[in-house]
This record gives sequence, C-alpha cells and structure tokens, in this order.
Amino acid sequence: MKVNLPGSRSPGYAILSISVLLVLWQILADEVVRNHFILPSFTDVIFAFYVLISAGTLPMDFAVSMIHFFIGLGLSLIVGVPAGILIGWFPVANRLLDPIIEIIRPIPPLAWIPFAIVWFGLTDLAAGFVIFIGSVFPVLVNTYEGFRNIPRIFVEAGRMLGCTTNAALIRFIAIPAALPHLAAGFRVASGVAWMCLVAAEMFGVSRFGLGQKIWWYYNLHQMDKVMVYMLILGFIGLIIDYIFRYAMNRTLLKWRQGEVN
Amino acid sequence: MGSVEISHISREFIRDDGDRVIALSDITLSIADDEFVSFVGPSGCGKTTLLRIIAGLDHANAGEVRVDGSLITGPGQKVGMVFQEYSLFPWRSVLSNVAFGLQMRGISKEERYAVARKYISLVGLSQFEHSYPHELSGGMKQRVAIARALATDPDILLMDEPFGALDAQTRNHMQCELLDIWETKKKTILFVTHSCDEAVFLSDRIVVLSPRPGIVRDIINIPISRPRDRTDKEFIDLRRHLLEMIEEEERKEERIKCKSGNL
Repeated sequence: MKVNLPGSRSPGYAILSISVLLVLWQILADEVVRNHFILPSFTDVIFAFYVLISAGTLPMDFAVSMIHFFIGLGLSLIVGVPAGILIGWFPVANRLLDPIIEIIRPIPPLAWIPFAIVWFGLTDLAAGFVIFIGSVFPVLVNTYEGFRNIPRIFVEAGRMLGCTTNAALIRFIAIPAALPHLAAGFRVASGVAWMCLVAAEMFGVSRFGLGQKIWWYYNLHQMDKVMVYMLILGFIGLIIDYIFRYAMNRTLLKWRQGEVN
Repeated sequence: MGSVEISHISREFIRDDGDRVIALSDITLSIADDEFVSFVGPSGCGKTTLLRIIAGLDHANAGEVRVDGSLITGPGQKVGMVFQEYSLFPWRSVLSNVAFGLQMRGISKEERYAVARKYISLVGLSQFEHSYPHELSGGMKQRVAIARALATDPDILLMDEPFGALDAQTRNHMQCELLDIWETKKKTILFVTHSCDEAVFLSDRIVVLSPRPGIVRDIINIPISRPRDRTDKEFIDLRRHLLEMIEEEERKEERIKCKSGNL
C-alpha cells in the first residue's frame, strides 16, 4: 500500500525531528546524566531563558555583538572586495600580492588576538579586528575567483559597445558578472565572522555581548544559561544567513532566477 | 559611410607546444559602403580571427585595416558586433542591454531608453523589454544582440556566426529579418558563417577562405536579386559551387593531417 508522505517543503518533517530531539534531550538529561552542570535539560534551558529575559541584558548583549560583527564584516568588505578586484583584474597585482596573501591566510584568526589587544586595547575595535581577519579572506578569494571566471565574451561585447577603460569595464561588466561569486563570498564571510564572535569577546573587550556572556556564565558555572546563549547565537546566525540570501536573490541577483547553475 | 579596406593582414598564433600556426596570411580585400559580404571556409580558416581584427579586438602581426580611411587600432564607434551566442549581459534587462552602448556614450537615461525602445521594436520584441536574457529563446536573444549592436548606429556591423545555434526554421526567419534591417538601415555587413546556404541567401559577395595559412581562395559575386528563392536553379547552382569548393578545402586539410600523422 502506498503511504502518502507530506511534500518535501512541508514543515511537518522539521517539527517532527526537532520534537524527537527535544524529548530525547530531556530524557537524557533527567534520567541518564542526572547532573544539570554537565547537561542542563531542555526545561532548565527554557527556565534560564525566562530568567535572562526578566534580567533584561539580552538586548544589550545582542546590540554589542552586532557592533563587533558589523565592524569586522564591514572592514572585510572595505578591504576584501577592492583587493580581490585588484588581483582578479590586473595580472601584475596578482603576481605581486598572491605570495603575501598565501602566507597570511593560513594563520588562524584567533592567533591574532594578542596583537589585536596590543594594537587596539580592550575595545570593540579589537573584537572587530579578530572578526575581520577571519572574514576578509573568504571575501577576497571569492571576489578574485569571480573576476577570474568572467566570460571573455562579456568583456569583448562591452568593449565593442564603447566600454573601454579598465574602470568602466570593472564597474559595468566585471562587478555585475562576478556578483554571484561576491555574494557567495560574503555569505561564507558572514558565517566565519559569526563563528569568530565568541572568541573575539572572550578576552574582555566589553561587559556585554552574546559571546562574552557565554564565558561569563561559564565562570559562574551556570551551564543552563551558557546553553541559552549558544542557542541564541545559532538562531541569529541562521536568521542573518536567511535575510542575506533573501535580500540578494530579490534584488541584486534577481536576473539569475531560473538560471541553471 | 562604411567602407572597409583590409590590406596585407597576417596573423599567427604560437601554440602551447611552441608551434607557430599561421591563421591569416597576407589578406587584402576591399569592401564597399552598404555592401553585404560573407566569409565562409572550413573551420580553422581564420574567418573569425579576421572579423576580430576588423573589430579591433585582436591585432594583426602585419598589415592594417582602415574603416572609411581611418586606421583601426581598437574597438571604435563606427563598428558594431554581434557575437555567436551568450553575449547578452544576463544581469541587464532587454531594454538595459540595448541601451548599454548609449549609456557608455554618456547619453541620458530617458534619451537612451527611447532610442533602445525604437530598436527593440525594430526586432519585434517590444513586449519583452523588461525580460532578462535567460527568459528569452535563442532566436529572441540574437534579435536583442542585433538591436544592441544597432542602437549606437555603427556604419559597419560585424556578425560572427550569429545564427549558428538556432534551429533551421528560426534561422531562415532571422535571415529575412536581417535583410530587412540591412535594407532600411543602410549598413555595411560583414558576416561569418559556415553555412553555404546562408551565405548565398544573404550576401552581395562571398569571400571563401582557405586554411593553413588562411588566404582568400576565391570571391564569388551573387548576382541574384532579392528576395531570393532557395529553390531557384541559379541559387542551387551557386550553393553547390560554393559547397564543392569548401569540401575540396576540407579534403586537402584531411590529407595534410594524415601526412603529418595528426589523426
């Protein structure tokens, strides 16, 4: 007999799998681990969330983290996009800058924390700098890749139509043609930036912040609250990605809809 | 105005293995204003290279091209080009694609859109001006490409196998449309094709190129008055003559390849 499964886009599957996970988590915490320090249960976390909302620091934590996030990501775009364009469009720039980039790129972003503190002190800028180091390379490399993959026919068609200077070709042909790559790079960068956030707020740059609070409550041994902040970080990361994808597809990349990639 | 003087053009490429390939050797050709000239020949005969040199997209190793007496050193205002396929900017709508050349000349948005609309209606796509290229069929895309090349009003239109990817029916239809445009707009058209039928149907003159090295093997005048009938005896005879010439060139190629063990 044929079983009628709900459509693949139905929210039924997601609701089912998450419900099962929550029940298993609750049983595991209450009946198996039986230690709320090692594994707080689902209900502990819900209760801790309620307590944190009443305490009222969540909006401030969110705002401070957003400041760090946007300082880092903003710098990445300001530096990464022009640098990617430079090495993608001018072969000489590529040969000169590529060795330097390849030496700096493998250094883990968190290894920059001591210098971030020395250069910028315990400020929001120091946290932003660590996030910048993490997210600038995805922006740069994807911009470069996008520029390298521009079909030659677009450049030639542009030149035949009077678009002849490097500046005009970059602006009217190369950037729009490379935009899907730029968007992909920005998306990867925003993911990396979000991941760097917890570490960037670890060394005491601010009294607030979603990452800062994870360390704060860990030191207070309140693991239920640590879990609340972990889940908040996850959800906000998801929402940022979703908003970004939606905005790009509806505006700058709407010409790509229905195209086979 | 739009006369083209090609004198002693040579072009060679260095292959990756160091071999020199002579794509064009001492081509000299004179094309009159408002003339429709096709270039045919077996693949590798350098017809696209020649067109690219006239366009200013490629440089000859020797010789020069003059358009109305002035030397071609790079892409210029007098010459427009329609490419094989996929040359429309996919991020721009039909209207914005056609207006692109005028935008590059610094013409205001209102004015360039008005001109672009005129050319879009000339190719019969007024209903699609807000569509994006991926929403159009192959024939429609090439119509937009023609409108885009015409919008800046060049004297000379270069066309590099523009209908090569279209099905036979659309292709025949596009050929008639192109002749209509050519007659109303008075352009010099240089048309690269590998179809003898297309060349005989469209051209005033057909330049037959022979490969390795690329030289002009023959120039055929087509005296048939337009509109031409494909089933006409004169048409069929000319087509057969052309086809035989190209097949002979191709056989020569095969023999050279066999001798040098390239097969």
